[in-house]
Amino acid sequence: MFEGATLECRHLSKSFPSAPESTTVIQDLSLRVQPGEFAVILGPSGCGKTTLLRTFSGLLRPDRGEVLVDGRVVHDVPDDVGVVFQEYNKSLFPWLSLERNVRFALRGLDRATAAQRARDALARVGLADSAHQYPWQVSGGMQQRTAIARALAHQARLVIMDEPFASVDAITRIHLEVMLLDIWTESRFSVVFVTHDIEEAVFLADRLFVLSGRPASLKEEITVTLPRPRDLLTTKALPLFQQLRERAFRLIEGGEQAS
Amino acid sequence: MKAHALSARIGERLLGWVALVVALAGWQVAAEVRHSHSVATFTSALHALGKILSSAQLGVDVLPSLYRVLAGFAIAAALGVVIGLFVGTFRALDPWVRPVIEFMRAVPPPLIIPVAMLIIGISGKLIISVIVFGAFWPVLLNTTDGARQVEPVYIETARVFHVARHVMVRSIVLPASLPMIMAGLRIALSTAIIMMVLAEMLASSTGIGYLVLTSQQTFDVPATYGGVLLLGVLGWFFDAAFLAVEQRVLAWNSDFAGGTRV
Ligand SMILES: Nc1ncnc2c1ncn2[C@@H]1O[C@H](COP(=O)(O)OP(=O)(O)OP(=O)(O)O)[C@@H](O)[C@H]1O
Ligand SMILES: [Mg+2]
Repeated sequence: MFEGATLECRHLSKSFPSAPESTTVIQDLSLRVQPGEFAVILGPSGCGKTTLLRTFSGLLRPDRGEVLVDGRVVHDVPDDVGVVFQEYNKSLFPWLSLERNVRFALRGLDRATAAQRARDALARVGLADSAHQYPWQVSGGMQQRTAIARALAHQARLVIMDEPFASVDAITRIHLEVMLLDIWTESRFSVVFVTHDIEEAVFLADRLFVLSGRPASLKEEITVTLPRPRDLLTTKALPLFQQLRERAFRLIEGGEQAS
Repeated sequence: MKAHALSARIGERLLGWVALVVALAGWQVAAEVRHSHSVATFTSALHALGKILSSAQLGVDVLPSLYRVLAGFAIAAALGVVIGLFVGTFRALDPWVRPVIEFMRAVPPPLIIPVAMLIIGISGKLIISVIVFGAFWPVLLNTTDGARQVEPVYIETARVFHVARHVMVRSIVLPASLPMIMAGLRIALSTAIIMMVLAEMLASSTGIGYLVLTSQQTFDVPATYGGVLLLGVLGWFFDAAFLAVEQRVLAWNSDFAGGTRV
């Protein structure tokens, strides 16, 4: 039976000797993501969100503390973790078609299976007809959908996403949020989704981790009990949505005043 | 819109051809009027070129030159790309190799010819060797820089999908640095032709360079100009062929798609 992975980090700290200002980027951060949960990490720009995700995915080693996926300490990128990077225009390989980009995640499989799986993954994000186009030939939203398809293609049990919709236009962004929720509802992998957009955070999350400004540490953990399936108009019109949004806003604002 | 752009491009091309015809006609007229012993007319140069291509000289001078350029270029390209990819990918090599590369590229390549004559002596190997030497550095330099500047997100993406280090060189670093590599290869191709001509003038009794030099020394003025004409056409042809290949190889690059910059 397919089940999402758990992610846990304990007393995580990371600093860069070469970084300007304060060198500590993450300070004593602990959190836990349950199987199949949609966790959103909300933090102001530049607070260390990307650094945090890179330690989660094993691309970067923490100075102190540890990251565990399914209870096992992460040293390298775990097999069933998919990553969607912040800069989609840099994470797709421009010399490969969209399909070949997705197949990059399926390198172990034989050609026919890989091609079939890649086409399925593209179809799930609505790109079945663009499989043979190159990244520069399609819009930013389509590129990011390809990156999502690639992260999902090898049946990731945990998908880590770094502000995936930050650089697409507002309308595309709404479509992508809804699409992501649909796909996640179908297969229930665990998600760690980073954003600095409060509205997006509340709309998507089961659990919301609000980070303080630099150095990033956990300011508050909010359980989002908004009913699912969520819908753009009705969900955002709920009083609870407004309350949660306000609460998150105050947390973020308070952090900026304090620093 | 597209048809318009196309016709504008054809128009630009046409202007270039018109200018070339005007220049050649100017050459012809000037040479006829001045009637100097040191300047052949365009038509007599063309006639001499025809003779070169239809006589035994084709096999003695023209074909060996072509062979030397192509072989020298191919060896330099293969060495430069392979070594450059490794030096650029494995940063630990950098401090060792960098000063050597910086020094060697500052040395004007023709200087290697007298040195090579000392070491190798005058032989067929000499010419190819000096062509390889001249063409190698621009390929190495561009490949190293291209490999060093590969977008870090590409590398991280590859790590996410567990691509082994040596596979990464071939399937990520190579395609990512291909635009830089192609630019280096293009410089290398014209350097290869320069080295071929010079080496044949200084250290050979065959080849187009040798032909031009001896015809000048024996006052066969039209043949000298014919040889120059031949080299010009060859250089132009090589470059055009190279650009056509580049166009295909970099078709995925938006800068090259469809032959126009997007
Ligand atoms: N490899 C590195 N070396 C030195 N400093 C780094 C490195 N990576 C990140 N930093 C520093 O850490 C801080 C946090 O960066 P990070 O990219 O994690 O923030 P972020 O929250 O993702 O920002 P954004 O909202 O712009 O995406 C920045 O000030 C940056 O300068
Ligand atoms: Mg970031």
